[in-house]
Amino acid sequence: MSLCLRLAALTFLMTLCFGGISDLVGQDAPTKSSYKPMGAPADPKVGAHWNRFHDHASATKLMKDLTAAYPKLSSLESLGKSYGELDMWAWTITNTETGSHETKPAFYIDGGIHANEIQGPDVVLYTGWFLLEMYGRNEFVTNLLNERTFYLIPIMSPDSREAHFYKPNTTHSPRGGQRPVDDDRDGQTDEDPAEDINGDGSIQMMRVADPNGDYREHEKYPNLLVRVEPGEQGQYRILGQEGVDNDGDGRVNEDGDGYYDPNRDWGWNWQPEYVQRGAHRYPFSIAENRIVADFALARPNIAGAQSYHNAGGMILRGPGAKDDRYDPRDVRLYDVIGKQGEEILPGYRYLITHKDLYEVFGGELDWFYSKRGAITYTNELWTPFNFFRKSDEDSGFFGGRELQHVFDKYLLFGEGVAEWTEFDHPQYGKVEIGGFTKQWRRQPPSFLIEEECHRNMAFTLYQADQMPLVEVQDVTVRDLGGGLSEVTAVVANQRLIPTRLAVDVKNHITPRDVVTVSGTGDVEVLVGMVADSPYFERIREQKRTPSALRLEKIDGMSAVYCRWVVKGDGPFAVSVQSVKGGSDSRTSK
Amino acid sequence: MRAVRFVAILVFCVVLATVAHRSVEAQHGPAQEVYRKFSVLQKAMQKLAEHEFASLTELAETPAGFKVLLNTVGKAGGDQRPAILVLGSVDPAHLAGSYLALESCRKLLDHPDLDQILDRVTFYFIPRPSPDATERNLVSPFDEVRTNKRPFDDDRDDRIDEDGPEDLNNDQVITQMRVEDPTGEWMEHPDDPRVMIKADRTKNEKGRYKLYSEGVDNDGDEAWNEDGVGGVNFDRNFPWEYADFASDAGSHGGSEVENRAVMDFAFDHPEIALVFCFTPDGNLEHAWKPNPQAEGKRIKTTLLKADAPYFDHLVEARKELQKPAGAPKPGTAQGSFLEWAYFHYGRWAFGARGWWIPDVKKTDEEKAKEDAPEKPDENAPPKEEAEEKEEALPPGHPPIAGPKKEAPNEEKPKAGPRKKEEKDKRGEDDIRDLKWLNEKHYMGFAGWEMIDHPDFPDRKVEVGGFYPRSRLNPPVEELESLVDLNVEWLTVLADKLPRIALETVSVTDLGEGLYRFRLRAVNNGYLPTESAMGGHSRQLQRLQVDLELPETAELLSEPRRRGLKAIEGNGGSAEEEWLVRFTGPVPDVIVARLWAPHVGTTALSIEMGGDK
Repeated sequence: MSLCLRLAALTFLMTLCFGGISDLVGQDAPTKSSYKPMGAPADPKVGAHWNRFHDHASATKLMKDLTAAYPKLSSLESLGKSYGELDMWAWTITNTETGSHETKPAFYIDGGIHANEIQGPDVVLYTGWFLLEMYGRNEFVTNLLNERTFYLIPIMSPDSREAHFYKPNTTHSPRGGQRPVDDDRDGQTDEDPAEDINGDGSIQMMRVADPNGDYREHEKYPNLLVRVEPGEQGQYRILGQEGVDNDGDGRVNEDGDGYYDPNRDWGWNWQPEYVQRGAHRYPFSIAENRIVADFALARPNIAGAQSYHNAGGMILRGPGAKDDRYDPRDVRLYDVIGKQGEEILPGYRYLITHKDLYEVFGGELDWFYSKRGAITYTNELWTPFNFFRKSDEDSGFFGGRELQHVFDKYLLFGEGVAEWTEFDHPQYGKVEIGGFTKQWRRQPPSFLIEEECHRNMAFTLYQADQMPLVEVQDVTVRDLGGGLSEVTAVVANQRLIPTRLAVDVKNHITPRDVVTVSGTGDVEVLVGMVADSPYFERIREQKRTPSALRLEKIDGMSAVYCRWVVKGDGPFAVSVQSVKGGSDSRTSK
Repeated sequence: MRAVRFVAILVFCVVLATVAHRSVEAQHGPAQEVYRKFSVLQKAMQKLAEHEFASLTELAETPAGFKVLLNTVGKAGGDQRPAILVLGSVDPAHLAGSYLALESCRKLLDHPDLDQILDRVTFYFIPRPSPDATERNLVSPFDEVRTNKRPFDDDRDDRIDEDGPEDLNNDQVITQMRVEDPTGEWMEHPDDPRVMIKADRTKNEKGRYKLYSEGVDNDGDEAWNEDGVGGVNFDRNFPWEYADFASDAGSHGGSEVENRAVMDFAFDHPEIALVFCFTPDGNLEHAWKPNPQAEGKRIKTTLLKADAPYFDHLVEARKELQKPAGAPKPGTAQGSFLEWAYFHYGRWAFGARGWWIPDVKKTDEEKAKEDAPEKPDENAPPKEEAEEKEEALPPGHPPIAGPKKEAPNEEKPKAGPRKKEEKDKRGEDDIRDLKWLNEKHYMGFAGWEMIDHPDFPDRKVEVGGFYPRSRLNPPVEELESLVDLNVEWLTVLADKLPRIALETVSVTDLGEGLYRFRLRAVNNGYLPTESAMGGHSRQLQRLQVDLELPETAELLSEPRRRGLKAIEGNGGSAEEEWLVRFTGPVPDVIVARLWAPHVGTTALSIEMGGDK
């Protein structure tokens, strides 16, 4: 860290210690004398809670409070309005005193594109809060914000997030957005949604007692219905999800809100509805996604990305479709980061979407890699491993049903499952309604939210630190006589990820890195060349504009060697500009 | 005396130059009249909208400030009838497409049977879906341009739009440059030195020229015109088989406002049953073929076998109106509108080029007439070419007034997409086209003209070649007759659409107010109610049938409203039964309905009076 950066950080610390306390704002008043555990600060400038989830309004307030408290580090802009007229927030975090956001390698994070996957936005909010509150307190975080930019879009699907919070739903809904869609192609839109007949805010299941039914109560957990074995007497018939046949077509709940899937809408390997359910009309036909994509297209400095989903404890990479292919040179980088993630996130597995999960066409993470040249993961938050810190290979994304009821009984004290209760149904007559509440199975309970936020953030910060960072390590000059000088520069990237991924170089997603030389006054650059070793064994001469050498990339943990023959006076300044790797300069002695 | 003669020659030259200049200027007037600039097109479309059955809608405003405009031709409540969507200039350089779409719309409004036609069908016309790109073809210097002006780094050198073409010989068209160079791989065709062919070293030939498009190397990278202005080609920006990273495809399928405007209109209008467009890459002159092996794949890229007979039938119907012999083969379909309309939008979709330089030897009749093929003008002197060029019209634009030479077709040289032959086929299309232009007195070729070129100071550089678009867009005489043909074609298409009807099979009185209704939905049109791809695509609303029952009726066999599968044409049918118990008086009439937006609505009044 350069001296001036150290000074900036120190000044910031002093301000915080001696001048900042009286400005404290926030939701939980911190105490001065807090004994600080490791991790998040005990005396944040902006207090925040990480044992419950933020709706759009409380998320907005938190981001505004933090931006007011840290104006040099944080900026908040609305990219536009969602279909339901809610702001699409883009939250940019970087130390603007060390450079504006677009000049630094950037890490992009979003959450909640599937709105029911509710904790994603909270992990993003925690990340922003933690980075801002820890700047100046922790050297790693301070360096990150000095050298990098974080673009955070905490709530990708705000309308449906509000719907999940405040309207009856299951833990699985609404996955899509709120624009009306004629799911059953009968000319009417969203005419037959589920109904909350028992009025508890969740959509559960309906059953009727029926000796010819194929379900019975579980011996230990009476709220759990299990399928009868062959030859066994049944007790109940399951009628499906809570709701009525609103449109008289003989089907219950066949056309609710949506349906389109915002994570099948992205402009890479997009396929229409008959191939990919939820694809909607065409790539980015969902306006919320289009404005975020435009935001990302205008920021080619994005070199890494994360899009949070739930559930199942996965660190997913693409490709989403089995016929798609990631460049093996990039996959090696993915593997290094993904494997480290498995250690940071116990119970999470590093997996490939199409191979280990299912095929996805038009998924966001593929677009960020293939069209923006950024290493991108999707973490599927919450793992059934967290029930009892045990792996259970057969328990699926949400844990085995019996295990869920065990956890409900001993840790949630029955709060996660509604008991079966009798109601009158307009079509079926007397029915019983019961089952899981919407807040449970895909989401961590309150006491595990903060851990989920912190561990996932830690994974993204590790990845962000691996983004390229260019550096002019050395500039030497040799006098060739006759007014000519030979200037040699070592330009390095001391991080894992190259300045341009293989996919970027192949498809020319972003411009090349440029290394320029200049001297004192008018300097004529006669020759410019690049080599991969300090001995200049196999040079690549650049005849056009030799003063500005264009590099395909600078590999990770590696350097390129640039040399010029120059007519004019030194000292000579060499600078490197990389869209995804930042910039640096150094002057010869 | 000598001086006087010199002055006289000088004056003559000046006059000649002025006349030449004026003639080029004059050509632009009529050119715009026929292949209208946007402002003229807009006025024409506004004028059409004055008709009682027509209206004008703005679908979008483009980045260049033009609009994607649509003329509707239909009666009130048009969205209750099936509709045909017609697009022109899907290829923005295919100006004939705009013309034919617009003029077909105009003539359709004059059709004697308009009233009856519009009782059944609504037409939507979008003559110029990509106005920004098309307009670029209508300003001097004339070029063949397919992209809008969205900046793009075509040559991936990190500079954007830095090296476009220049009109070096000031003839207001961008043609080609040939540069004498012993390392070049091009040579003159032995039969016609205007035509350039690649030298075949195995035949003991040597190249003599390098060939470039007309312009200078603006950015000093030793490539010419490799990164001109723009952009995105409308017909490469649809999401079917979208070509990521192609220089004219945009950032993703549907990245352009023009493409989204057309797609959104289509999706917002479920009544559209069929799409027809004018495109050089159509399926009417060169029919799509099914490929049962490819058909098994999850992503469909070939015409489904079940749909092929219907497509073939329409191809034959089109052939009745316009023989497709010699039509150039379509190019790539990646990202194209036509394929999108069939594979993604799920509609019957047809595309016609509409015009091409005819290949006379494609028909037997003409083959029989054929005399010994006359060789093309072997020694067409460059001077004559230059003179011709001075009088020439811009590409594809109207011909010079004056008597036409009789130009019997049989004199044309062998050409076209052609079977395997021993004969050397290099340049034969060019020779054929030159001959046709010559016979018709249409100017579509600029003779090679020497110029001084700054990038080649010591070399002989000539500018010339086919005018851009001259082989894509017909002269006006040919266009007029094509309008009538295409109006007729639209009525053929309308005639082929499904015609649904609902019939009573039986109404059985089972006693005590209990009745069994059995109804039959019939399709008396030609086309099925949806194509196989349409059904597969899930983009069409389902055909539904419903009984309107009084409150006193209890339905014993749910549901009342039912979805039906596709019904084939020519009498194909589907039957449904309902069990109903009337708890009050049985009404005199029960009404049943059968409908889907893309096939229309029909109702049946069932007279109740015991067994039928």
